[in-house]
Amino acid sequence: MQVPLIETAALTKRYATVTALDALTVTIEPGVVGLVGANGAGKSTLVKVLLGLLEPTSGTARVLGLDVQTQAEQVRSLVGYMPEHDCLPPDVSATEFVGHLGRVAGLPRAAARERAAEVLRHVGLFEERYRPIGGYSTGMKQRVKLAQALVHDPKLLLLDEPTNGLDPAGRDEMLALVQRTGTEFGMAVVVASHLLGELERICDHLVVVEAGRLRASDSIASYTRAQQLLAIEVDGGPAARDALGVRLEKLGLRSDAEGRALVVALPSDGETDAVYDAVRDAIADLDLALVRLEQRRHRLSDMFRDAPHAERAEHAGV
Amino acid sequence: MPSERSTQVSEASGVIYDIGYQNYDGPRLGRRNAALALYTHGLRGVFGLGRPAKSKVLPWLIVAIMVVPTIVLVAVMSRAELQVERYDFYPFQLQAPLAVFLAAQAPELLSRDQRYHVLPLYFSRPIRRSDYALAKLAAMVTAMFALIAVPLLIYYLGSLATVTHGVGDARHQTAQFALGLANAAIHAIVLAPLGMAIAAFARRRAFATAAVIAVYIITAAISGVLGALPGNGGRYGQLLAPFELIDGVRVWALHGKVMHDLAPSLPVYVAAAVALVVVCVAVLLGRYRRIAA
Repeated sequence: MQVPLIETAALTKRYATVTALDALTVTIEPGVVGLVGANGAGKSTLVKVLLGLLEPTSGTARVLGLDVQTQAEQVRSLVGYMPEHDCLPPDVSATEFVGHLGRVAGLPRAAARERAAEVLRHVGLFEERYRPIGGYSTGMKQRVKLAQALVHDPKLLLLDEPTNGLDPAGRDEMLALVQRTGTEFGMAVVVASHLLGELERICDHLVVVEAGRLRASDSIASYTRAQQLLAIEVDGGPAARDALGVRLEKLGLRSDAEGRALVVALPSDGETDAVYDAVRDAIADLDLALVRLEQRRHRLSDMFRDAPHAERAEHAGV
Repeated sequence: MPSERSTQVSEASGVIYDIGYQNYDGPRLGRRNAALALYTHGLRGVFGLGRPAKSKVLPWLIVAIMVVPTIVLVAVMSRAELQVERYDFYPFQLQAPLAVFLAAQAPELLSRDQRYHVLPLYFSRPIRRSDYALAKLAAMVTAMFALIAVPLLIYYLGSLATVTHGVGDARHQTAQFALGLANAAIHAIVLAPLGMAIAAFARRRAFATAAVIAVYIITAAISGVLGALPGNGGRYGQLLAPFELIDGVRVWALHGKVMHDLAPSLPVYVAAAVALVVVCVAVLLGRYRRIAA
């Protein structure tokens, strides 16, 4: 039987005034896994507990089958960590610093130097790696942060907001790099981010945390299957739209207003005819003019109906 | 067939160009290797090695202040056929540069990693927090020892090469050199933990440096006031001032020459020095056990 990548049981971390993790129980299998939640949802706290940087208040956590409290050193030798914030000293070169951290992670001197050169090349740092880090751009610093997480060839990479502070082009490059790490380097990767759109692009599994609790954990594919939507737009403004919503409700269909349209979830088993019939009947009964009827490709952010308003606004604009 | 051959070559060179990611399956060493890496990295950092020129100015200026007088001394002594009688008072005249070195470079070892949030990168690796603190402390002890020992070595070798005559004389010089090294070790072991324990609490380098210097000045002032009291008892105030404390240890442990008035009981100096070291190391370890990463 395969050992789960990460396994937590009733994991709780309480600070003086805040509960960052609230009895979180989740099992994560190997792959490229997204850990998504709003800022303050407990993502960074979870990552730090997994690394043994923070002591949990209660509950247990295992990484690659090892207990994070009693076998912390073994866990840390198998894990690479890229923190969310700046963590690089400005006055040493990337080569020197990454090589040094490779040694601290357990590599012999020569191997550390060799691996440092190799991972810096992999993240796309070439001649500049001999210059002090203080002179690097944000994008280059993020690459060094990724390189230091890779230098000891870990089994698991924990990346906390790897695209922090990057411009759109930098984001794309970093995401491509993270994806390559997961697929070509054969490492399990957990990416914590508040940006669902980014995780959707590179992850094959998604864990959603909210206020320190597990909201959902499933493969991207299953979210997609469950979230086939039908958008219906009728003439006559919001009044007509809402009237249609009430009528659909009576026919047993839940709908949500979204801009000028109503959105209805289609059943995942492919039995969609009944839904289409109900929509047709409702519109005919109310004598409304149908403007648009569209089966929409899923968007993962539909999952988060009550979540951040920014995402809803983005929708409404579509 | 030549054409087939050439395609093979280009394919092969293509493979070499993009070797892809290589997994590491070599040995993985334990905490000792990691601590050694922290120690050597720290020692290099203290002297600004592998850092820009700006970081080298201060440590190497102090190295020059420590070393140049010795070189002059060797030159003078070889002409005048004179010898220094004792080695163990060498750093006594050079307390100031030694004090500045500790105040300026202890933060280089500790405050810098806090200021730039580097600690999470260390503490997420298979070391203990105490490994980090002790390796950094060892680097500072070594640096301070070298700062005193290197000039002594220069003097010792210079003396052997120029004015030492006969086996007995050489033996005497060697014995004195050994005493000098012991004195250097006392200085390094007593002073370094103090500077490091203070620097561990400051994220900003300048604050750490100012705090270490403040400790020297305030303790020296208290000791001076107490020493001015009538009777010998006030001289125990010297136990508070690190350099005077060390001098008491030197006189007791190495039967060194008395440079200024000391309190009557010398073992008290040794006890106080041991207590200072133990407390400072405990404070340093305590700080790193609790510090957020």
